[in-house]
Amino acid sequence: MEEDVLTTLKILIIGESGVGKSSLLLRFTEDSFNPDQSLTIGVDFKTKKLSIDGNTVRLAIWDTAGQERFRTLTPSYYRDAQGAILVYDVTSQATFSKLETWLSELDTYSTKSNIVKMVVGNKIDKAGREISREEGMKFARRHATLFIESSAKTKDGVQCAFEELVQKIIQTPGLWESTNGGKTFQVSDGPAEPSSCGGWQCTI
Amino acid sequence: MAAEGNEEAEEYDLYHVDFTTASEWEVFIARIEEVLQQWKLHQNRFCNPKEKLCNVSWNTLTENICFADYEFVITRYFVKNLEEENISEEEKKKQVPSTLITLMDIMNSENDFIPIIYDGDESSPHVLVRWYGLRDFVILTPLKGHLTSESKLKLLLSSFSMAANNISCQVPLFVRFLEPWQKFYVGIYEGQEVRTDFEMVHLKKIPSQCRHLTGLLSLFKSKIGESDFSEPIMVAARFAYCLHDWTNFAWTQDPPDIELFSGDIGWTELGSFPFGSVCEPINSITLYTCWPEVLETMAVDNELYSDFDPLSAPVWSLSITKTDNPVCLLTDYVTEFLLYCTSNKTIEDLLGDFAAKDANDVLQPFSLLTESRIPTITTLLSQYASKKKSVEGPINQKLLMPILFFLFPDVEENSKYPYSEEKDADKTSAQRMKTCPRDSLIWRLALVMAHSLHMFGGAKAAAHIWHEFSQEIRFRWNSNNMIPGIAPGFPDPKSCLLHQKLQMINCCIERRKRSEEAALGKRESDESDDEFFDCDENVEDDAKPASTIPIGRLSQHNSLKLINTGQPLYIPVTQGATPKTEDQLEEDAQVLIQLGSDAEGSQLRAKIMSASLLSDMESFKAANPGASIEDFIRWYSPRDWVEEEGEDQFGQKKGKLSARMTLPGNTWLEVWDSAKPVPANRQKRLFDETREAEKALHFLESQTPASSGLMVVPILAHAAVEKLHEEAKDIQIPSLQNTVQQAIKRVEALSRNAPMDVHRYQELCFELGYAETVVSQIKSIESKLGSDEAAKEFACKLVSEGETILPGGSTGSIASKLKTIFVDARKACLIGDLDGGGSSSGENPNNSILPQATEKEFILRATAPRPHRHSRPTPQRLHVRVSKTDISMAGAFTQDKTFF
Repeated sequence: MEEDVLTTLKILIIGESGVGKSSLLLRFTEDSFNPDQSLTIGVDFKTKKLSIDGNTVRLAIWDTAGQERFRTLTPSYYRDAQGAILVYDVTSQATFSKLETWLSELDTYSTKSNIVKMVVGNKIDKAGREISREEGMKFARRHATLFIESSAKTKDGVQCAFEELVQKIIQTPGLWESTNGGKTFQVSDGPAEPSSCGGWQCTI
Repeated sequence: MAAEGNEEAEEYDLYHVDFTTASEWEVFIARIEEVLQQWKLHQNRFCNPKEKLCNVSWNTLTENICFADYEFVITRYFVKNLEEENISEEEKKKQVPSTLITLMDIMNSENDFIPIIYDGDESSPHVLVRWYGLRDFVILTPLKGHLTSESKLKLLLSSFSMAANNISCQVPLFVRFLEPWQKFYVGIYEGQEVRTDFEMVHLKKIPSQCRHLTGLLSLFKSKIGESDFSEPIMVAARFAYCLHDWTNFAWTQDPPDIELFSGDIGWTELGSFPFGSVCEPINSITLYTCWPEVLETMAVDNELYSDFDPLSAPVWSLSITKTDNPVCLLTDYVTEFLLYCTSNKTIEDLLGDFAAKDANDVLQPFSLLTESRIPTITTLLSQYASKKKSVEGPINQKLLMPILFFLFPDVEENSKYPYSEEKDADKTSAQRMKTCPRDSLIWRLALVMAHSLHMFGGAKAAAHIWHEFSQEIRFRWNSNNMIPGIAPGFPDPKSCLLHQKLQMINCCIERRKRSEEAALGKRESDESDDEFFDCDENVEDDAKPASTIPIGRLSQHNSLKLINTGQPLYIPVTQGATPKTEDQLEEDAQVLIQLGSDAEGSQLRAKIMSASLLSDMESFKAANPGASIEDFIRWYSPRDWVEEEGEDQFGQKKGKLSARMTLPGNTWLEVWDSAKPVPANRQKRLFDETREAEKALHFLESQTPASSGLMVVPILAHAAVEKLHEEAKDIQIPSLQNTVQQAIKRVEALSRNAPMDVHRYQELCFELGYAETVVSQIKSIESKLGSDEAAKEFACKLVSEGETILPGGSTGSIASKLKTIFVDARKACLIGDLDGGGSSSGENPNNSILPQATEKEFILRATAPRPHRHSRPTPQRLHVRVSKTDISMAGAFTQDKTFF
């Protein structure tokens, strides 16, 4: 099965403490939810294979701690990431306001200039929403990122978030290289329709 | 339909179709017809006779064709947009049927002398376009060898004639005769009631009357049969003057020489690349003086007198021939460096005893202890001096010192080459290159190594420079002296690994300096909080009683109070972040990855990562005696403190830890429990500068010559494309600018490519070579013909498009510069002649500026009745090319097929 993997992609999850970064990751990788998810110290990581349009990629997803104090430590692991998920809590204005800081941190430390960014508004199952969907969307548009709302608890939007991010990465020319020398892959120039196969093709 | 069917059936009955007896010749003709029909040359089309042929693109179609077992290639040459279908009504009005176009083209003077570019025996466009002004024609050439038998030629021409008549082909058909270089083409054109023969003469001996217009006119007249009714002959002429000898107008770039560096001058040269071709990039120029069509009576040109005075010719144009692959300095430097990167020699191979001896000298730890930690310039200098006493390296001392002063200008007082302090705005897209800032230490190092390879003694000298460089870095660490010309701060992952390593060493030096200063400060006043020194386990016990006395406070928190005591919460001094280079980060990440992605792995990772958490907790406990984990969390992770209604006894809101923080077996709680109140300066250090510096120094010192080259190559390539960009930025040639951009993009990609592969730099060398050659050509022309706006534009056109008409003609500023060059060349030639004892000084003494024409071309045209005076008048044309050694004439003679 190994040779079926097109490439390995490195994806970061960043955002304020307690917005549900680790829960998102747990939901995506193990499809489970732990209301008492323990606090991440520094960084943690998980892997998962994902198939998109008939192509399998291996994802190495780096989960980071959101505490201010860890910020001297975590950016070291931003290196060579192809995608980044910026998470905020839709029930907390403070976590949303901090997104700007996270974005600039990402720009400072990411080594790939065309890294694909996605803003995720998490915890939409919770009562007491402070950030509307429109606000989140506006922010994403202004910073030219992908956007989705999700709930790690109810599964809403989690799978979709990762899939869209990976699809976008694969469609970005020069962002990744095939690990498989025998095959050649062509990446089309034009943006492909979302969630449709055909953004790129494989010729053996 | 039925009737047609019947007819076909009848025909079928009437003619018994049997081709079994067809001869090879008939088969050949049938095949020609088939090909011509396939190319639709039998159909009526329309084309615009006014369309100029000099700026069009040409297309070709090719088929193979056999006569018995003799193979031919048949090729159609035609102007590309002939095939265009969508044309406006406006355009359509200008068009004429293709049956007329060939004869119109023969008589059209607008396409006289259109420039052609020769490439061996081929040319673009085809020479027939030049000779006859044709826009659509077919040529038959033998696949192998060449035709020499005249009878075979006749047979082929008859085949063409029959095929053309059978299908009423509307373009002329040619056969290539003799050897390719002779460019001998004979052809026919079968038009409506007329027929044109395309004939050629090629003579090695020039008949004297054919050297001048008068003789050629009488030749032409005798051919077309002069009569009283024929119109006067029209004449166009063009003379060419070729210049090979540049005398003192040659443009060459001398490679930098070691001699240049013997004095104090020329050191700035070390900071940049040399640029340009070593030999003259323009091989020759040819001046064309052209007289567009005039009546034969208007011009006299015979052996004694000529109206064709080149200096007053109405049109002057120029073409150049370029030197093939001239050696270009910049490209040469880069290529040479790449070669160095592939050598498998060790540093001992190259430097021998010198390297070994040197290493021993410096690594004596005792001598270091006795010396002062803060160096002076004199100690630095004497260090150099003592080092070199015994064995001298490939670069001698006299040369080496200035190089080292150039790399490390801070050693010298009032250095001429200090590193600029301000961060310069990146000129090119340098930001995207993973290298280092412009004109920083390793930028200079890259250039110095390249220069060393080129002129200070090859691979040995480059290895010597690297050796001295790494020794100096070692010395900087030993003597607590910061490395100059390196971006401040932590290793920047956007710069190259070598730069990161040096940043790392600087970080180490800075930390050690700070802790030494602190130690010094402590001796002076015991009340210093800001101290750092190594501590071992024994010392920690002494610090125990400190649990009640707060130590290591940074500042008071602006609102929080400790829950148990109500004392203000103090933010502790913590151990700073740990600088790491990208290879170390990669290692760390690998370690974390190898722990696996299961829960156990996560646990272990948390353990590893909790070292910094423990350090912070210990600092916090030391600064806030009696603090609880709740206090720590409120400062460290405020979102894990859930506030509740009501206030405690100190006026703070009540609250509790978040659910996840109170989980049993929680790492945070475990770490808190194990944390002792120890201020940051007495903790076990997370970052050991001595160890890290040694690692980085070892990294530098353990490089082989090739691997040290590989580390420097991206910087060298960056500097090279920057130089190229700078040199080429004012030259408006799209293909050149494209290449420059492509080269920049390539370096960006290559600099990011982690496992360095020298072979991937080869493509870059091609791009550099091409662009550097073009820039050299432009500079050469500008140096000869001036560099004002008009001349610049002219130079670009000349290089990119070939033959170009001089703005201002024979009286413009470019022309006057050109005349000076010709005069100079003639003078040099005359002096040569005198030296050689030659007496005759050219044939045209009345023309002292230009030499004898290298080539003369004439086009004669007339409308004359042929073959008989009662035939209808038809187009006649003769193209004559007279060079110094031979003459070729190509004539198109039309005759009436009905009235003869």
